[in-house]
Amino acid sequence: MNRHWNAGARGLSRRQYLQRSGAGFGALALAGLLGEEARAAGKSGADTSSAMAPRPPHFAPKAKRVLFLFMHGGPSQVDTFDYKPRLQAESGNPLPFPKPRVVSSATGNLLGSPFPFQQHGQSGRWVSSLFPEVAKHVDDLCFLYSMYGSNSRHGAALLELHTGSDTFVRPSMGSWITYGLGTENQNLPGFITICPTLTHGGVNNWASAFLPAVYQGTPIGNAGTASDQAQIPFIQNTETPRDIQRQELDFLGALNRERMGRTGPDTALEARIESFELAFRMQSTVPGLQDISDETPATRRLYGLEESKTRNFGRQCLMARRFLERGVRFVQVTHSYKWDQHDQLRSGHTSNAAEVDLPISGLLTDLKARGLLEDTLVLWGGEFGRTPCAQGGDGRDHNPHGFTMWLTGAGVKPGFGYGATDEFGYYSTEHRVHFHDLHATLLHLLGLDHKRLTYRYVGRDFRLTDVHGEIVTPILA
Amino acid sequence: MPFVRVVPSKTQSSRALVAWVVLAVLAVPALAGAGAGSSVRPAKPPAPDPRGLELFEKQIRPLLSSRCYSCHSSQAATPAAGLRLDSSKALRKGGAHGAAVVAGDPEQSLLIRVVRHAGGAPRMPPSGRLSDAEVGALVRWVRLGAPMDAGTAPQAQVGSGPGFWAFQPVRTPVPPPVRQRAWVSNPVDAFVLARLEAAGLSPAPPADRRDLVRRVTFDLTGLPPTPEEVDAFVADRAPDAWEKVVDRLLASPRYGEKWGRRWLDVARYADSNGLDENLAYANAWRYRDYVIGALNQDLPYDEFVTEQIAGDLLPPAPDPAVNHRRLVATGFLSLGPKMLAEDDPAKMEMDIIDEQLDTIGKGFLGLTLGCARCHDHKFDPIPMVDYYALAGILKSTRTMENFNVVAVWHENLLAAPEEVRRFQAAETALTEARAALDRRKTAATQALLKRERGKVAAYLLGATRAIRESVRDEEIPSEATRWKLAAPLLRQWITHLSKARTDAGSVLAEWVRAAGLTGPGVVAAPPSLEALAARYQEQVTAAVAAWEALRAGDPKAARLPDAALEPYRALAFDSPGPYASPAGAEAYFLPDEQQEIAQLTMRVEERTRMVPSIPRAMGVAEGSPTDLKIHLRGNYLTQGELAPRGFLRAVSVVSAPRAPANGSGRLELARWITAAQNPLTARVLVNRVWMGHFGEGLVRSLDNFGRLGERPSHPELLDWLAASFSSPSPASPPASAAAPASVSPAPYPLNWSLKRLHRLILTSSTYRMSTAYRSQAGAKDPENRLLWRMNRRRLDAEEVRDSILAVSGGLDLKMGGTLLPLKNREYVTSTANRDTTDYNAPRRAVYLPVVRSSLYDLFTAFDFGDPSVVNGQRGATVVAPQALFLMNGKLVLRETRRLADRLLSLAGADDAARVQAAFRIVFSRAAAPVEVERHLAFLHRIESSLAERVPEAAERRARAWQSFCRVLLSTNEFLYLE
Repeated sequence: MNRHWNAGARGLSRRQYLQRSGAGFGALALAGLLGEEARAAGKSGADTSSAMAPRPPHFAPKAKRVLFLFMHGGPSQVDTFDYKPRLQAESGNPLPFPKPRVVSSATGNLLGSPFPFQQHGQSGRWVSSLFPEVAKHVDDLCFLYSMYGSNSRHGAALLELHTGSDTFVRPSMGSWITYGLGTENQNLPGFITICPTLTHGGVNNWASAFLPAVYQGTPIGNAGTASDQAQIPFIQNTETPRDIQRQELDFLGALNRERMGRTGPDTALEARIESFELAFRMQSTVPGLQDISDETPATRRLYGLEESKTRNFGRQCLMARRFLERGVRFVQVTHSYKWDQHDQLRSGHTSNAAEVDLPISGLLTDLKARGLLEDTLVLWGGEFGRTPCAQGGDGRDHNPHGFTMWLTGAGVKPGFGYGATDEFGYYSTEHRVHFHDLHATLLHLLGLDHKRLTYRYVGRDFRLTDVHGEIVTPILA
Repeated sequence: MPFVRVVPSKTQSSRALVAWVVLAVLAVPALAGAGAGSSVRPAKPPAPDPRGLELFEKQIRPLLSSRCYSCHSSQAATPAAGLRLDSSKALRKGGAHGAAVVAGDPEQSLLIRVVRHAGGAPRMPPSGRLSDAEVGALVRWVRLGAPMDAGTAPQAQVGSGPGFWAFQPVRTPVPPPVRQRAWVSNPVDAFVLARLEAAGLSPAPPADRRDLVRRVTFDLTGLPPTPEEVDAFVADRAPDAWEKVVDRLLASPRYGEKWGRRWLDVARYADSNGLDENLAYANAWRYRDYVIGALNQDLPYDEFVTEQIAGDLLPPAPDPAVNHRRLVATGFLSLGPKMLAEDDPAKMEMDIIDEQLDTIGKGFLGLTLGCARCHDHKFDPIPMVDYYALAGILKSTRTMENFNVVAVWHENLLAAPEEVRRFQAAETALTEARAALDRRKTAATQALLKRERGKVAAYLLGATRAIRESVRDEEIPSEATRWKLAAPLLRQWITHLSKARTDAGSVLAEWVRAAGLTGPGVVAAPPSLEALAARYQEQVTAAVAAWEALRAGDPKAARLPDAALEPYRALAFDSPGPYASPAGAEAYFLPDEQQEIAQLTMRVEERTRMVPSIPRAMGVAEGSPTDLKIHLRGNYLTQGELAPRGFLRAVSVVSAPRAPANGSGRLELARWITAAQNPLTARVLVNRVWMGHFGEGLVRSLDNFGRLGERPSHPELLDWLAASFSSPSPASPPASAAAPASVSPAPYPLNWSLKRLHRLILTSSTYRMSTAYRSQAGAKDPENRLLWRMNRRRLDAEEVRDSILAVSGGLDLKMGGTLLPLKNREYVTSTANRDTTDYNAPRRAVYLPVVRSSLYDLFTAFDFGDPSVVNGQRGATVVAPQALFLMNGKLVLRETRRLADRLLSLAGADDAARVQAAFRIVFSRAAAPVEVERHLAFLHRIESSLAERVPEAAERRARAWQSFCRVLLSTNEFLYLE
């Protein structure tokens, strides 16, 4: 049954309730489940929570919010964090075991990484020359070397990563998390995705599918927008002066309240009045949050805003911190579809990493300095990795069979590495971690049991992890 | 992959092989003790342990399937080492090395040894060691006897048997007696009132006439009534005044636009594929227009269903337009989202079929068939074998042209058969003409290259000169003419020679040095340069001769064996290089070649003109009839028993036809769905129409009538409506609903007519109740399940947009066609993430493109829903983005200004009259004097606030009226229907 809400004596499902009176981004003092009944009886609503009000998790959480740094296209594990001496030694030789039955493109022999690796920090984790700045944080990172998915195409792999399904339209993990926990700042959306891609599943990667619409991600711009131009739909009005708009809303509120007197109690009508106030606050709050002029020069440098190469992604990262700081539950930052090096691996990965390395490092430094890393979980990775075998002379094909993601922050072991791929970095072989397992672990860290976080839709209880998912307990701090 | 050979590295394999053979020789007799080559257990094993079976289904089968079966199952052409792991028998029989499993004894089981990577045994699977949990599961399973079922789906017995209400035949209940007989306008009311009276409740009073006409106009057309329409109805005191309004609205083309859109929600209509490769469905609009047209002409629902499933299979009608319409209708099966970039074509095909079945199941039958893809439906009587019986019908249907990456969906040509034949013949002729032209061009190019290979010396000197003199690109043609060279080749020579200046290994390095091209400056040419050029020519000529001789004997030869000559061959033939096939070489062809090419080009142009332009529609055609085997756990790699094409066994339709051997069975499927005895089809449909008018269905789970759906609130009413709906009509139309003083016991034969069904429902007293709240009733039935009042409803996304345009006077009522600014199969959002779709057209929203994965912001904000799935009922949320749209949306800003201008241009009106006019247009009612006062005061406030900012009085006034209009369009009175 649906968590929290289905237990109502009236049997009105949470979905039906939300269909009529989903309260949007705001904490509405609705009569809630007792609705008209309670009001008619002159009682105050027993349940004053709204769809987005913070809700207690199933058990004590380690993390309160999630930041996902998504590297669209599929960064190569064997060129970044998964060091494979044998791949280097046997570069040019054939792969000594079979390739997968289904592949995206034909590949040839092994291709050693053009990027030298070094050990870093106390933990001695290996990092390639692509990430010199992130390398300084290895003692805080928790690497999952044995990630795997089941689809070798971008679209399907993105959907699998974001929703758990490469076959059907399902709610995004951010939607599940806001459904489970609500959000902490009622003037902001609970789930924000900064410059997301419109391709490879597009909206479905942040949509709520059958979950109520309030849980869908709010996109700020898209991957085609420069991050300083990114906006929430309809947030801006260059025509109507703010004070005129205020007068309009005051008058509108008066008209609507008066009509309530004639129609009798109706939570939806009441919620509508409040929704305009929320919208008015949002259009003040959000652009203010996106305006980073109050950040110090030191912070701007930290995120790479002073350099053309890192400015765009740096600004995305800085916006992410500002949203996290104000209690947004799930923030995703997308580094646009650049990591797909079927050829020109050396130059492509060099340039991609150069765009994100400093901003990510700056973000981690900043989160730590502000104490946010203590209750924020950060996830880094792409929809799959890349083959250790060469495609063409200087490229790598998609590889969902084994790749690396990393976590840091609340609840995960720092300076830790979990699982492994084979000696060449092709297949996840030890302590394999599927997307479902990752999802189960994220929910666990947020205090949610992935088997209990369900939503009933056309007669079936759905979960983010479908019928799968095992918590990766060894990485838990 | 033979069992023994596969070890992670080559170096270990020979040693491991020896050790393994020894082990195997020792082990086999021990393992096979119970009988060589047969089961190690008695021939009739005891009943399998259910825990083992469950473990097998949950964990072992998926594991074997994903990690072992590509080599060790019937799907492998030759199972590796002769070992198959896909049946109990095969497992115990084992392969070349004996039994894989000793039931009950993991330690003695080969399977366990190899997955543990135990010493001496090969390590399996080759793609990497299983996780400890996976190995543990295998060990537990072997300990439990390693049971596997034989791949036969047990008969589904759980949950809703045929006894479940939705599967029982539709009855024709007699309308129940009621006390308040005067309230009963038609039998619908009797069913509703009987339940209210039983619960001690009474129906709400009739709604105000203005509310009523506003309600029904939105319900049937999605638009507000005009002030004149409101006045006409309010003034009409005739007893059939209401019926006249209903009939007028049902006859309006706006009806098809409103209710067509409702069906499009069910049909998960969209103008793009969505999912991974978001390609434009640039012909999908024809299906959308088909639906609108079908509803406007009241195509009987059984025909509507049949055309969408099997329109291409109906006997040809004399009118070709009818045949085309039916082809367009099959777009229903093709419009779904498809994973077009799936590397596994078999998976892609089964996923597409699953999507089609999901839509058919939920859309027509209110059943979630998808569950039975992987296992017998846990709650509804749908065994896997029924799912695959239906899937076989779609497998035998052509939805796709291919399953490549990126896959191509099928489209039907909308033309008479002879015209299609003409089209195909013309296309073939055009293809041939193009090929002939290409062949001739290629031959002429080769001839040119052959000639020019004899001018190596001239090109070398010419290119050197050009480099020295920094000849600009546009000067190359005249330079070439001067020296009788071909400009495109001279250009390639220049490029190649320039590259050689920094490449000491180049065959031209000697030339570069001799010509003094090494450094940046220019060195005078030594006199011997001509001689060197002649030497290059000699070498090239020799290489060409050697190459031609070699290729004559060995057409696949890749290089000359003579290492000294090979660089000259490369120079003369390879691409990139000076003699790569150049573009723009036509001018250098010989005159007779040029003439032939000109003729061939003309032929291509002629034949291009001769290809008739034929409209296309997404849709299906017949494929090759195929029965599927059931796919265990939904995985096509593990197949079970054969499921001959057929329908759901739980729905017994007496005269059910069978799928023919020579066809897909789609037409028979349609006949089965629309058979009068099918208990689901009519119930599901009348419930959809009911929901459209009351906001909730009699069964609130519109798309699920199964056990996990909800039960009907008024089962007798549902059955009575369904029976009426599917009853063939006698000669006369149903009795006027105004007439019956007593309730007719017989159903109204509606003969699948949707318009008659609407009329029946709308002329009930139930529909005409007010929304007035009464606390006593509210306390007893807070959800209004018994219908003690009308439900208030929010305008849906299209209604919000269309009515804003309607009241401003900006709405363009042109019907049909497409607004998608994309070519067919073009990417909607390129990787540049730009959506070029323009949603500002003032057309009705139903004609705006529906772009999956990148939906129009307004649709997203107002609960349009996800157009990838069947969506019988939309949400009606109240979220902040809706308010943001009404405050800041460009459309709202534009149209409120238009409405303001419209009000200000009213002739001979003062401001009070303007407020009155606005109320009549926007709210369908007059403003009370006190309301006029308040709005005038508001206008005055805004105008004075703008005084300093907007100096021009007329503009200031217009802006104030725009503010006034924005407020009206944001009110609950505008956004909700009473």
